Amino acid sequence: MSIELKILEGCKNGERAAQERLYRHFAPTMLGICLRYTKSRDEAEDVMQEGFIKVFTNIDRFRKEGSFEGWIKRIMVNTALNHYHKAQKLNSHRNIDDIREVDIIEDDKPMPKTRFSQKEMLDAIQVLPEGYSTIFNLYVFEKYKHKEIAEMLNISVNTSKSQLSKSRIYLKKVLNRMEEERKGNNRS
Amino acid sequence: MKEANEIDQLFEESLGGLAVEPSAEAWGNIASGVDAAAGGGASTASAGSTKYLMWVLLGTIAAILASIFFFTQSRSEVKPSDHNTIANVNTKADIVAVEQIKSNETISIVSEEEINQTSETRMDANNADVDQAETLAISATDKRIEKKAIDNNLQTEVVERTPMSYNIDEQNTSTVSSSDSYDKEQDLDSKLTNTVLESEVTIVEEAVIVETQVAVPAETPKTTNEVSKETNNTEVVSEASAAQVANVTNNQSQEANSLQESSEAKIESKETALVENSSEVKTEEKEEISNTEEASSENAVVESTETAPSPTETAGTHFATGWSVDVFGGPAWINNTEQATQVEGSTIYQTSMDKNILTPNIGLNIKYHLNNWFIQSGLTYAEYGENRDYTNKIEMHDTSGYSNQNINEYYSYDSVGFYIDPNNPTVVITLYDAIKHSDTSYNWVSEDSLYYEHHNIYAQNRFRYIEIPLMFGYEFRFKNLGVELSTGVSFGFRVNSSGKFLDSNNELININQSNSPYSNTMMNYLLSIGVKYHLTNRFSIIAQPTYKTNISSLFSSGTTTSYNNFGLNVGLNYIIK
Repeated sequence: MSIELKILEGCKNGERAAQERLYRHFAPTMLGICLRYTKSRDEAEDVMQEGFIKVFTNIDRFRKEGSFEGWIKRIMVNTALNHYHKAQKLNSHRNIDDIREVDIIEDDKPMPKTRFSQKEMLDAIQVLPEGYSTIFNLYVFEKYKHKEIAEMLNISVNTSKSQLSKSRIYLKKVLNRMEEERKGNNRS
Repeated sequence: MKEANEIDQLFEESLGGLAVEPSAEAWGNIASGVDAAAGGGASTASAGSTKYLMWVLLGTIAAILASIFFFTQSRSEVKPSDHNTIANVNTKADIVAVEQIKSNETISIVSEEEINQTSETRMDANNADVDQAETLAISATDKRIEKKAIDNNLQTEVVERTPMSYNIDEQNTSTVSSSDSYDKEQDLDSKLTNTVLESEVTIVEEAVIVETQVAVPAETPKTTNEVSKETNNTEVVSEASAAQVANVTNNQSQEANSLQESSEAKIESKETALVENSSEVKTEEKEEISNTEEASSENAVVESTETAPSPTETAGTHFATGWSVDVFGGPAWINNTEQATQVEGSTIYQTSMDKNILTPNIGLNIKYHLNNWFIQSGLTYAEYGENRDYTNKIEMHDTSGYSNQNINEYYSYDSVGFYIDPNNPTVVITLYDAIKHSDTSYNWVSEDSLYYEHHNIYAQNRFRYIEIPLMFGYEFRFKNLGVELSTGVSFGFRVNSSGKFLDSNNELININQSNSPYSNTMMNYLLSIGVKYHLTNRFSIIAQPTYKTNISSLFSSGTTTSYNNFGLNVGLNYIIK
């Protein structure tokens, strides 16, 4: 996917029409990314808006060596991480390690067989504790390594690994629960 | 492990391409956010222009205040070195007073000879005036008696006048108004007025002498005291004579009212008495005027024979008018307004805030002094810059497991022919060849281990200017000390630059004179407070804290970063002339 050079140049010149075209092109994908990192749509839109403002104000610093979409994605992810850090400062009593272990005890249940909708999968990620969802997103979707995640979130590599493992268990439990609920609904 | 991968895969497949249409108002919010960010830049520029206007305003106010102070001082200040002038002014006042009595003409006298000559003239004129006035007074009295007119107002005016409540203009004005109120007796009034003014001459002279006393330096106390004493006596006598004239006039008027047909002899006897009194007045006044003139002349002589200070020198080692030169040098502390920012996704970025630096300031200024004021210009060598840390974040691939692979290359296979096994001719085996591809556009995600190395780059950015200051200031003088306040602007020309700088493409460039982000010229505001101590008549040592800030950005484009220069210069001041 490539953005026309003309639009890019227009954005660099601060042309509003070009900016809007660029926004319309990338906004759905970027909002999808932001939704994965946040707890609600409103929060995701806030992050996306902030991210796009950064894109437009720093667009002249984009070097045409790599993918423009990749550059925007990185900005969105970084903005979401900043959002996470801010939230962490406000709720300093709750960090990644504070999540109750009872929630993430591995059960013996197998992986659910149900095919879940996109919305259900998104709900599952959004109910994850924030630190978990961040690590899960960075590892699974952004393909960062544990070392990088550790640097980004200022945690140890082992913490990153263990939290990823816990997030998977958590997600599996959530999906199983959703499957049970769905079966219960079908019976009734 | 398998389960973990399943979960990862499940979510990646489901949400990897998640795209959700944002709300309608999202774009509006972004647009206004971008505007606000751009407005921030505008407000920065606006802040810059506000700063500029503030300086201009302050400069204007300072200039206005300085002008007011300068003119006020030059008009009101009486300097010890201006004794000559004061003596001249006093004598002039004297002369003007006398001449106003005579013909209301103003005589301008500059030289000492002129003063003396005029004083003598005044003495003669005064003597003549006294005679004439008294005669006229008598004559007027006669005429008043004949006309039976009583000039109560005039009499009252004559009686009411006290020595210290007059000045020449008031006297003339009041006298003229009195005269105007008596049109029919204008001549008489004017003559009487002359008489009255005659007595007032003394009053004026007294005031002049008092002034002279103030102005006369300690070298002539005796003369001044004598003059003062004589003046006091004269004052009494003059008042007496005026009162006598008034009394006689009054008495004669009363007589004219009550005894219209009084005898001429009686009147003559009174007239004789009046003439006698007037003669006494004349004699005493002559003496007084003579003494006063002598005193004035003495004062003038004393003042003029003193060695008057040269216009280019004043007391001590302070400098009034002329040229001097300052040679100075010292350290300057430089800081800038640059903010350390890391561009999203950039590989090279500024690690921390810039470190302030100490640089040398060396210069030479030529000053032109006009009393306490001075203007100056010259040449100054100044350095600006900062010490800056950059970090180069390098993405490293651990390709130990893929030692023969280039991560930007991949291979595909295409058939180049086929082979038929002679032992099994029904089977056709397709031959493939590897085709090497290089793909730099693809956002390649490597499967190998990725890590980052951070390399620190230390840059000492220096850019050097030769500056030409243009300043004006005021010097407060205290014996051997002087405190100089000065302000102005300087124009700089870049002569050299070095260091490392992130350009607009976020690439680190080496700065040199030809490849520099800094503009070739610049302009500063200057403010300094200097303390000067006089070592000899010509040499002074100076210590001068200075503040300098850029009016125009040092950067040719892209940034509004400006530099502040806090310097402490020490040096020598030499009076050329």
